[in-house]
Amino acid sequence: MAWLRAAQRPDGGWPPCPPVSQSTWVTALAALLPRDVLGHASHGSAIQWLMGQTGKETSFAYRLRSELIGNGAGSDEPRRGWPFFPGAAAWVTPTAFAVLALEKASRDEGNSALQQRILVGREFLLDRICKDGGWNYGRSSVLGVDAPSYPETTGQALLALNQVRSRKLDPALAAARDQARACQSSEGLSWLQLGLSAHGVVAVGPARKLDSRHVIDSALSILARAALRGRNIFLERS
Amino acid sequence: MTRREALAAVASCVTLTRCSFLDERRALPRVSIVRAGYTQGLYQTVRRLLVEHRVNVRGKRVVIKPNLVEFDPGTTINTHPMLVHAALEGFRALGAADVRIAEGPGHRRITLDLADAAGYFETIPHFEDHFTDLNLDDVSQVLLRDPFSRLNSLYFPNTALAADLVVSLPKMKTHHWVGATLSMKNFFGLVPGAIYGWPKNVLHWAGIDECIADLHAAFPRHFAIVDGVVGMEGNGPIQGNPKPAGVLVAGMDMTAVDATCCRIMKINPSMIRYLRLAAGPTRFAEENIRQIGEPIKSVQTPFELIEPFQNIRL
Repeated sequence: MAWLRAAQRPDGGWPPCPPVSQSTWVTALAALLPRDVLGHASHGSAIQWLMGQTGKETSFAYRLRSELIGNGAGSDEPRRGWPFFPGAAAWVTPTAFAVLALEKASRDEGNSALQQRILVGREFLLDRICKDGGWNYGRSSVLGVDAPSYPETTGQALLALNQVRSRKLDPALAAARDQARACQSSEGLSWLQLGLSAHGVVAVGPARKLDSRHVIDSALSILARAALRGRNIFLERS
Repeated sequence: MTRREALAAVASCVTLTRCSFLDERRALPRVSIVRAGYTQGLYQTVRRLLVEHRVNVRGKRVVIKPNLVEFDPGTTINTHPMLVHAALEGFRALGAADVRIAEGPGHRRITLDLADAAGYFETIPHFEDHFTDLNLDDVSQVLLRDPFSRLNSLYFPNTALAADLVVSLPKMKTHHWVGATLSMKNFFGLVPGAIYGWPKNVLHWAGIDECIADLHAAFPRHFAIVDGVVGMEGNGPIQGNPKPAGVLVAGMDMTAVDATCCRIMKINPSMIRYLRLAAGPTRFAEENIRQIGEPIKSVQTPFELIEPFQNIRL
């Protein structure tokens, strides 16, 4: 924890690794740690950093430009997700982790600004569902052609959409169950198990055992197995 | 023409003028076109290409960068694993001290599972021992000298930075943003996802064509072998259709290799913006490339182009 706290940047965010002089999406992962463990000041500034981030496509300048060239979305309030890297567009994975981190913080604080941003982040995720019911990196179609979803991003989005009641989730849950049965990836299956368990569904994996490729896989499968036993660490209070 | 393109044009003219005082034939970039299939003969073909281009890697560190993007059994998105294996064997046979296969896919985070699905584990013995996931590698910051894009610097994987030779092994494909994705665009996979994300959207905002040209300049010690045995046409690089062209295209000069691939695909290379940026308007002209092996006309086959790119047809 001392190492992690020391790596936090003055703006409240974290870089993905020491040589990088920029806070990025990994800040949400650090902010998922219990506040008492990370430290209240560290945790608070991380949440503030997350609250200040949004995809570049929702910036006033970009929206104005889009309106001027006829690609605008009219007066609709943009569905503001989170980018991987500041200055880029919002995508599913960083949005899912930011929503989870803010949700964890809001359970303790009951802060309405946090709750509003969580709501908007979840709208972003619901808006990016692929035609097959799941999620990919965040573009449901490319030049009018439907894009397929991935197990890992489907699981992450479902995890972030815990407690959400929406008709859009019925096909998503069905797609996630199908993906779990056919999954060829240990990491993919773990995310599906975590995501489905957040909706009270136990994911049945494929018949063959999926081997973990590396330590990230192994760690995640431990968390997924805990979720199957009723303890989803992403959804616990801070 | 932008100021930068004009400067590149002048620079290339100066270069060509200087070359004319030297041995013109030797100075022209050489590009090989060879007929090939995904058979055992591919190993010999690749070895012949490396010898033909006098690729000197004895005692050197080589990084082979295939194009590994997504897996769909119904199409041909990725560089064929047999070509990757043939390159691995070929560089080893030439005495390279270390040959690594390395890639940082732009959409899928679980690279090893993607490689498994694409047949890399099955075709390349001990694949995992030879492979580096560039998305997760240690990185160093590199300042871009006189960049074409808005970026002043990029973080790159140390594995790629430490290589004496980076070998681009792309698939010959059309691309729905830049027209064609070949050896130069393949270097997008050198940009680490753990830093920039999946997709590496920072590059899109900084200008895709400009970033392709910047990456080409950032890794000047390179060689390319393009997998055009079965390429992809239409809505590439992922949602297109398989397109057999039956060739490998190879060379030291990636702008010349990509321009040749374009001609094989019946795409006008001068309409590909990143080629103009990186090489100026004349360097990749047909008369400025020394073609070896099959003549372009004998292997030329039109790749289907989506509507916005109809104007790049040769």
